[in-house]
Amino acid sequence: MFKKILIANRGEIALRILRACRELDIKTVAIHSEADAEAMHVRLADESVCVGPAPAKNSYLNIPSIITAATITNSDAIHPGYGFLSENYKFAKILEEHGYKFIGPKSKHIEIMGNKIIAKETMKNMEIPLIPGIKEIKSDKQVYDFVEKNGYPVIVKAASGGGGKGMKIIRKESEIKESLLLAKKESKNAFNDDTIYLEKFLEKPKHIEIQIIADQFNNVIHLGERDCSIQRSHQKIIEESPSSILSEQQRKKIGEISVNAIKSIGYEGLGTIEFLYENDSFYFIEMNTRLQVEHPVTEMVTGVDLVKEQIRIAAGSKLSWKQNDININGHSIECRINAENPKTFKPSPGKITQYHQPGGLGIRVESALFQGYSIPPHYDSMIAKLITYGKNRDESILKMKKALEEYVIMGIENTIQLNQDILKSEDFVSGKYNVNFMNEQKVN
Amino acid sequence: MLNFTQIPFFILCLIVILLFIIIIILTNLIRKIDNLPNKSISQSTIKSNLPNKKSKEVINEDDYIISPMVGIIYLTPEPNKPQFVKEGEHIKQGDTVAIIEAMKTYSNVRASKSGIVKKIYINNGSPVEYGEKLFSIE
Repeated sequence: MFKKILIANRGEIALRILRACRELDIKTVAIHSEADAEAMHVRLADESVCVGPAPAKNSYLNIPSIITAATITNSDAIHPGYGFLSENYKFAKILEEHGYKFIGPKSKHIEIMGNKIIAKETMKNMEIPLIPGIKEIKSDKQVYDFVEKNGYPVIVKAASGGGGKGMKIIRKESEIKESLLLAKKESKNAFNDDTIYLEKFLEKPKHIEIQIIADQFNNVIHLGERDCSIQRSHQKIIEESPSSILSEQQRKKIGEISVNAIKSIGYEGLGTIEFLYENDSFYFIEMNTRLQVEHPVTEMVTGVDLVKEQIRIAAGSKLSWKQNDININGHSIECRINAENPKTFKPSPGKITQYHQPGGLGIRVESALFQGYSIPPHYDSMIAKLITYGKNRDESILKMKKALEEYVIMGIENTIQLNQDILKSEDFVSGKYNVNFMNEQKVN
Repeated sequence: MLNFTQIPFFILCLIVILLFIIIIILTNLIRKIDNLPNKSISQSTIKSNLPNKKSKEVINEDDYIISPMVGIIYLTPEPNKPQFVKEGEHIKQGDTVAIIEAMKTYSNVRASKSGIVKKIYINNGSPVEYGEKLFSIE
């Protein structure tokens, strides 16, 4: 087992990793920027090293400084957390070459999954379902053949596009000819390239992701799913496990497909395979090759401490569980609380003048906040995660409502109110919400 | 007997009071001396902090563009691009005059009114606080 781990992160996730290290009797080294000298992760660590000035690119992303910090503190492994260097394959590669253990997958797997096109190709070969489509539309006939096989609606997009230009949704046969012409024209005008492609269009998909964990001996298990469909501009707000719309059979099936794919690429560590889910079908989006923000909901319902297991595996231990040992019990929800205005989402850094954390059975708070702490403007706005666990979804929601009421964060604007509004909405309560939830402004 | 003990007491009291007066006078003097050289250095800050005391012109908050949030301010849309506005340029209400980066998001700072940019108080890439004066407009 490792003797000393350098935690190359900040905020709540640095604390989460630090606590796991404590329980495994591993010494911890915190790194911090000049802006974070007073931060909780620095106060709680056994040692700390300042690695640079406030901007992340000069401190938390400063690879030479971080490796030097690991050298002078005699650390044997580096945990990257999420964000920052966690999915930087070059960083992982440098550590591999210099004899430090990167607590995460091998650099080659980070590289593969970091490239959307290669990731999709790889997953397709491993029988992970992708959104069906046509890579390049060369004739109208291709489109007619496609819809005959896959049905409506479909979406046409510009190959060199972005920002909605050249995008057309086709819902019936009479629209095909005109839409293709328009898309080509718009694409030509906007990007000077009339190459267009086509995909099946998902109207109301859910974001469902599968948590997997693999050891160095190619033992792989999955830990069920998380429903993360409550998102605002691709930022998740509320996550839950299990999803109320998946049957036990569907869970088992998609879990097995994911495990088999991971096994065949020889992956190691924690990973999440993200899917869009609509009409009982899954479509691969991407794979995250790291610990995720929303990992606690999986921990609550499976009883597996993902961070401890991740560290044990990185140190060369075998998985502590077999697939049959994993049972999903009860229900867990996580609300992310950001330092931002709950209506305009304008960031709101500043000093916490009053702080009171909720508590009780089934209430978990992951946060590095304390009274008197000043949230610096340089980093991410997520300041706390509130996680509840109940014997079923209703109890979990009820506990979350009570806990949000109890939570006091004064001095800055935060999104507690937004979370409360979402929890009250009919769509959330029914569990039938989809990724368009926040756009449809059902929350007010 | 009473007189004997009271006389030195009175003298003591007098001396103490005198000392106090001397100390007060001295500290005032020191303060005045201190202020003399400082004035030239911190004139601008004194002016902005206490605008109504020395000069009689009334400074109107509307004449300034104020920082809407804490963050890092950028005067150019991208590195190596020209500034949004320069001193002496005319701007219209609603024009973007700067960008503030806070918590990995960028927000535009817009002109609160039309006019000529008289002074830019901040440097490109410097940290700004909520309510800080960024530009003055005439």
